[in-house]
Amino acid sequence: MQLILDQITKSFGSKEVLKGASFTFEKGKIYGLLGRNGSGKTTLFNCLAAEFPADSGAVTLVEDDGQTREPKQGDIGYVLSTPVVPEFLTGVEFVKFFQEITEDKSGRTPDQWLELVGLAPDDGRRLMRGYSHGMKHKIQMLCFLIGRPPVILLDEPLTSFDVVAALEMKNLLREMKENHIILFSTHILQLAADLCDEIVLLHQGELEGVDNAKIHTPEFESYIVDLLTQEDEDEEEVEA
Amino acid sequence: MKLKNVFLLYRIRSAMAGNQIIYWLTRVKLLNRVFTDKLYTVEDGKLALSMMVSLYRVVRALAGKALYLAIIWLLPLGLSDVETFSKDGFALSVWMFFWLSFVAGTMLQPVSMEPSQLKYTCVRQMGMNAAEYQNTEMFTHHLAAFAGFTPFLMLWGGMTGTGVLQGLLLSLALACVRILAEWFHLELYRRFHVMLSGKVLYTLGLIVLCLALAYAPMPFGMVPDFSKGLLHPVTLVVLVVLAAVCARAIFRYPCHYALILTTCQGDKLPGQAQKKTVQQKQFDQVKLKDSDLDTKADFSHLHGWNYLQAIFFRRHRRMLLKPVFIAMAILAAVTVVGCGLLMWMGRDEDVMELFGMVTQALPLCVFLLYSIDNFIGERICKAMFYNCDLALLRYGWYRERDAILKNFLLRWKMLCGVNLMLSGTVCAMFILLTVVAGGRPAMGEFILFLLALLSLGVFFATHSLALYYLFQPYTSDLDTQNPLFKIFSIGMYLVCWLAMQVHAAPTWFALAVFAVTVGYSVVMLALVLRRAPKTFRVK
Repeated sequence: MQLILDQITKSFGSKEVLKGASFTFEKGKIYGLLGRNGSGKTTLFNCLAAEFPADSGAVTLVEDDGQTREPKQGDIGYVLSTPVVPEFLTGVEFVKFFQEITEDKSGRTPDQWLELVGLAPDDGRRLMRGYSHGMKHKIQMLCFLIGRPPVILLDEPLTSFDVVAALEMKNLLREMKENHIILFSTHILQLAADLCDEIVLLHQGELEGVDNAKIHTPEFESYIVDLLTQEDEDEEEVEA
Repeated sequence: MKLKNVFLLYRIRSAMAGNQIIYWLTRVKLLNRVFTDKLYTVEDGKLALSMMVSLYRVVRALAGKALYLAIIWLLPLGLSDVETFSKDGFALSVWMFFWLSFVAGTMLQPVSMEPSQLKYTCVRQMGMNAAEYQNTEMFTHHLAAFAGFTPFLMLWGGMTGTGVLQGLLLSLALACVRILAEWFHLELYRRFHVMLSGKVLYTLGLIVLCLALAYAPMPFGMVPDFSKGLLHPVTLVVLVVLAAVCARAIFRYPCHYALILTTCQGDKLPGQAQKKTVQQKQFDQVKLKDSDLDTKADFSHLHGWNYLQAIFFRRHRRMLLKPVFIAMAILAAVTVVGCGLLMWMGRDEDVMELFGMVTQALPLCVFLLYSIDNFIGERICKAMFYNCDLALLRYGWYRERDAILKNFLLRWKMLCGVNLMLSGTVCAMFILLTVVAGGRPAMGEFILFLLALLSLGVFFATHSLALYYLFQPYTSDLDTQNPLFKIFSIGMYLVCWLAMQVHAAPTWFALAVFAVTVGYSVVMLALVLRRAPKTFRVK
C-alpha cells in the first residue's frame, strides 16, 4: 500500500503554510516528518486526517493490488501530541466499547489488549481521568492496534515521555509498522534518526526526502541543518 | 518623566486597540474578504486606525464627563427649590462635586493602583521601567481629565454667573487633589502594604458616605457655601504647592515595580478576572465529581454505543437529573399549594369555569416548557461535549456518519426521556388542579392538551440536540462561538414568545404543536444526517 500526496496546499489568511507538498509513503516503513517549529507539520497532518480541508491537491491510497482510491474516514488514524481519551470511562470499558464498534475479531479480551501495551489489569479498571500522559498515549495506540487503520499519523508523539515509556512506545511502533504506513512528526533529530526508516523534510511548505544512507552517520545532523537553512540563506541573498 | 514615553505609550495603546479591531474585522464573514490579516503589517492603515480610536476616545471622554456632570448636578438641582443657573446653584454644585469627584473619585480609583492590560503588557511583558510607566500614565491621565473637565466647568461657571475663572479654578483644584490622592495611596502601600482600592467594604462605605454627604444636606437647606473656601486664592496656592511636593515624591517613589507586581497579575486584570469567573462557572456546571464516577455498576450486558451511552448517563446522572428534579419539585410544590388553596376556597363557580378553559393555557405552556427544557438541554449538551465528545471527536471513527447517527438517536432518546419527565409533571399538575377545582374541560380537548404538552418535550429535545450536532458551538473553554447557533437559539426564543400571543382554538393549537413537532424532528434529523459528519467536530 502507498499513500500519495500530490501538490497539497493550505493557507491561513495570507500565510501560505503548505505550498504544494508532494510525496509517496509506503507500507512497512516508519517515516519521520522533520521540520522547524511552525513549518506546517501539524497542518499537514490535520489536512490528511480531514480535521480541516486542504485548499488544493490530492491524497490517494494505492492498495496492494494496485487499485487507487481516496482515503475514507477510518483509513487514517491520528494521534495528537496531547493524548485525549474519554475520562469518564475506565481503560477496560473504553477498549471493550472500541472492540465492539470496530467489530474486532482478534479474540482478545480487553485485559489482553491492555496487557499488550503494558497496562496492568488494575490500571484497566481505573478511570482514565487518573491516567498519566503515557498511559493515555498507550490507549490511543491501542485503538490503532485494534482498528488497524492503514495510515497512522503521530504528531510529536514521544517528546513528553519518560525514557521507559518512550522505549516501550518505540518498540510498539516498530512492531506495528509491518501493516501500516506510519508518519510521525518531530523536530527532534535524534528521535527521528533512532526510530525512522526514512526521513522527510517539510521545509518552506514542501516535502523533500533526504539521503537515507546518511541517517546513522555522524554528519547527519549538519546535513539536515544545511538542508533546513539552505533556502533561507538563498532567500536572504536574493533580498540583499 | 520623558516625553518619548508619552508617545511610546500612545503608540502601544493604539497598536493594541488597532490590532483588536483588525482581529474582529478579519473574523466577520464577507468583511474578511476586504479586511485580511495583511492589515497588521500596513503601518499607515494602522496609524489611521489608531487616530480614529484616539478621536473616539476623546469624544467618549468628553461626552462621559458631560453626562457625569449632568447626572450629579443638573438632575438634583432641577429637583431642588434652588434656581439651577444661579450663584447658589454653583455653590451647591461645588459641594456635590467635592464629595463625588474630589473625595470619592480620587480615593476610589487612583491610576497608580489600577490593574490594567496596558500596564501588564508594558511593564511585566515588555520590561518597560515601572517608574517611567507609572509617572507617564499618571501625568497623561490626570492631564486628560483636567482638559476634559475644564471646558464644562468653565461653561458652568459662566452660565451660573459665577464666572468662567471660578470654573477653571475648580478644575485646577481637582487636578491638584488627584495628585495628592495618588501620593496618599502610594505612601499607604509603601509604608503598610495596604491597597484600599478594590476592597469591597471600603468602596461601598466610601460611596455611601460620599453620596450621603453630597445630597443629604440639600433638602434641609444645610449645604454650606463651600465654594468660597475651596476656590479661595490661599486654598488654591496651598493645593498647588502640596500637589507639586507630592508630584516630586511620586517621581522619586521607589516601589512602583513592586506595586505593579502586586496589582497586575495575569488573572486579576480587568476582563481576565471576569472571564475566568464565567469560565469557572461553566466548568463547574459540567465537571464530574469523584463521587459521580462509581465503577461498580455492571454494564457488561450492553454493547457498543448503548454501552457507552449507558455509562455516560450513569456517571452524569447527578449533573443531568439534578436540574430536572429541582424543576419537578417546584412544579410539585406549586401543585400542592394550588390544590390546598382550591380545597380551602371550596367549589367556586368562577374557578370551575376558569379550569374548564384550562386548555387555553397551552400557548403559555409552550414558553414555560421552552424555558425549562432549553436550560436543561443546553446543560446536557455542554456536559456531553466537555466530558465525552471533546475527547472522542479527535478520533475519526467517532465522526463517521453511522457513528453520529447511532449516537444521536441514543442521546435523543435519553433527552426525550428527561424532557418527558418534566412534561409529565406539568400534565399531572394540570390534571390534579383541574380535578380539585372541579373544572370540566371538554375531554377530547383536554387529552389533546396533555398530549401536546408531552410532544413539546420531544420537540425541545430535538431542538437542543440537533442544534448541538449541526453547529457544535462550544470551544474547549466552553465558550459559545458559532453565531448561527446563537441566531437559531434566539429565533426559538422568539417563536416561543410569539406562541404566547396566539389566540387560536385549543384543539387547533394542539394539533399545530403535533404537526410542528413531527415536521421539525424530521427536518432536523435529515439535516443532522446530512450535515453533522462535517459540522460535528472540535473547533
